[in-house]
Amino acid sequence: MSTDTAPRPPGDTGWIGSSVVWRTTLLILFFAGLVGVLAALASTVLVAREERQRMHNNIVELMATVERTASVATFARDEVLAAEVARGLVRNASVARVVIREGGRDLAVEGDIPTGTGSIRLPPLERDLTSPFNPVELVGQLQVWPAIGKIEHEVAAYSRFIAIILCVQLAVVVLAVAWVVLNVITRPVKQLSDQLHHLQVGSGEQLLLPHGHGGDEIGRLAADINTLIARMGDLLAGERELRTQREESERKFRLIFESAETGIFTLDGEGILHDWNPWLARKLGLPQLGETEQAYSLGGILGDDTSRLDALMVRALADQRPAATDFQISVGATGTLWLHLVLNPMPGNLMQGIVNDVTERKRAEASAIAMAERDQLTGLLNRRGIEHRLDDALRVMRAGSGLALMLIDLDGFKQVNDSLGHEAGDRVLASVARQLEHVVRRTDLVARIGGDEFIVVLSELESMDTARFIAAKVVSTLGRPVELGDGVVARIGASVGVAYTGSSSESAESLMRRADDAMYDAKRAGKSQFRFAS
Amino acid sequence: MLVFNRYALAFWLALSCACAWAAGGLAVIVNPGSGVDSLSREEVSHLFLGRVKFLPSGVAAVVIDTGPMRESFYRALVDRGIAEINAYWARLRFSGRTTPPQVMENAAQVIDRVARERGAIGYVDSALVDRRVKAVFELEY
Repeated sequence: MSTDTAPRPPGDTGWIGSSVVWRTTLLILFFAGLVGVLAALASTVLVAREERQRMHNNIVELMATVERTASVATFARDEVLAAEVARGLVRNASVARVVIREGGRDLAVEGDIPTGTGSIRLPPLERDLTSPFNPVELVGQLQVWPAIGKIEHEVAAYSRFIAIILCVQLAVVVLAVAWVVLNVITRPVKQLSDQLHHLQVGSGEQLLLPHGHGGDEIGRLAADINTLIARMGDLLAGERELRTQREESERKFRLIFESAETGIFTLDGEGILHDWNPWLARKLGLPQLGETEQAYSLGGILGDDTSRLDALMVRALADQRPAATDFQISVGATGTLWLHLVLNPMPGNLMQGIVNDVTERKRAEASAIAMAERDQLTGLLNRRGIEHRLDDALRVMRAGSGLALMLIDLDGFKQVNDSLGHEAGDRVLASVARQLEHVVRRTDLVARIGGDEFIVVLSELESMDTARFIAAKVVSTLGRPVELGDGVVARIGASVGVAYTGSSSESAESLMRRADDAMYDAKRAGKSQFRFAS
Repeated sequence: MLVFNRYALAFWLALSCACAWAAGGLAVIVNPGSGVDSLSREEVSHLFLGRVKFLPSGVAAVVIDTGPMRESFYRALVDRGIAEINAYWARLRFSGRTTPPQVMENAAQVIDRVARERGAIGYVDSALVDRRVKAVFELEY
């Protein structure tokens, strides 16, 4: 604990400057000095009064003592004796001047009229002198002037004495108080202050009680400070532990956040991303969090589908419940990405979001759907597939254009199956499928809906002529023999019923029925030909 | 004791009566040429105690005590005993300015002296006053 390594405690501007000792001493000096001056003034007045009274009495006594002789001198008009008496009186220090008067004249005059500073007034004392033989016969007067200077001198001397006594007392008291304050208060307090200044809170250090102050206020102060230090140490320790725990859990969460195979982000009410994890950055081609100052709008990243995102945000915030939906976005060269997005409302108009990549699932779903709508053997649409698409085609049909449904039934397929076997039948069906696909336009639909029944849907037709042309082409193409290899040739034909409509109001079922009827008409008319439904 | 006291008292009473009767009065006398006809008690006491040094007529006073009569005279004049009068003069004698009256042996000498000296003043038994002097004040005792 050395003073040079640590800065001075504030307010410690030296031992004298602002210390309690110095201030206390000054205050006591001031008040004691004030009292001393007042006491000296009061004592001066009192002493002056006392001294004056004493001198008065003294002179009265003196006059009484010499009265007889003065009377004799006055009675006998004896100047010599009178002068003797006067000289005797004047020799007394209290007496300044003596006049012995007989009748109208001064028998004896000794001394001078006293001159003082004027602070004390004392008139001359007078005493009538009577005849020594007749107490009622007035023969003269004795006048004595008190020595005012002497009173003043003595009063001044007395005041000086008192002042000196007071000064000595004051000095002793001040020194005593300074000593007491220094040793009883300042030093222990400074000790405490120094200790406190260098104390490391939380290190378990405590203040040492100043020696001999165990039971008094300073001791209590030190004890209280120690209690406070201990409590502060506990608090700090608790705080530190909490911080460690928090850091630990934060680290865990950060790890989860950063290594999750899921996109995690926060979003404000404007749709601006605030935080995102590396997974999301990777998926969306965003920079890593903290590497950019740019504001990214989630809607912008997800493409044109902003209105759906807005709706999702509004739902999440309004209901204060999680809301979820799927988004399809295209990223770079990798193609389409399906994202499942969940928005969780948080306080402060913020949302926490989770993004999962569901592309694989979507793809699987799509292929499952595709599988369900395809014919295994030919790869053409099956009945469900064509029904599904036919509904779509009817729905999107434009006014002024027509749609034709062709129902194709193979002629002689049963014989092929019976004579050449199922495998050969299957190869024939596959060949028919390839030929049908070849004949129709790219946008047209081809399906196999039963054993040897096929459907072709022609959309966007300007007139029935195109349908007729294609129907004729189908009949002629399928009428050709099918090479099955090893010199085996299957001979089949096709009967085709066509239902044409120019209106989207006609149902798929009605079209199918009409095509079916027309197909049977073709069969009845001798096969390998087409018929239009009426 | 009591019996003795009573007798003593009677004796002293008788004695004082006899004295008063025998003495009668005292007369203050001056030289007929002094220019003084009468003096008041105050003037007499002032002269005999040294306060006044001149007779009312302006003549310097020569004051004379009559030895055997001193006691009676001062007792009658200022009601003081001889010891007190002596003490008084002792104080004045110290200064040397005022001198006490000259004391003479008997009345005859006093009368002679007063008769001879113009400023002299003395006192004698009233019965002894003759033509050579003038009585200016009567004192009874």
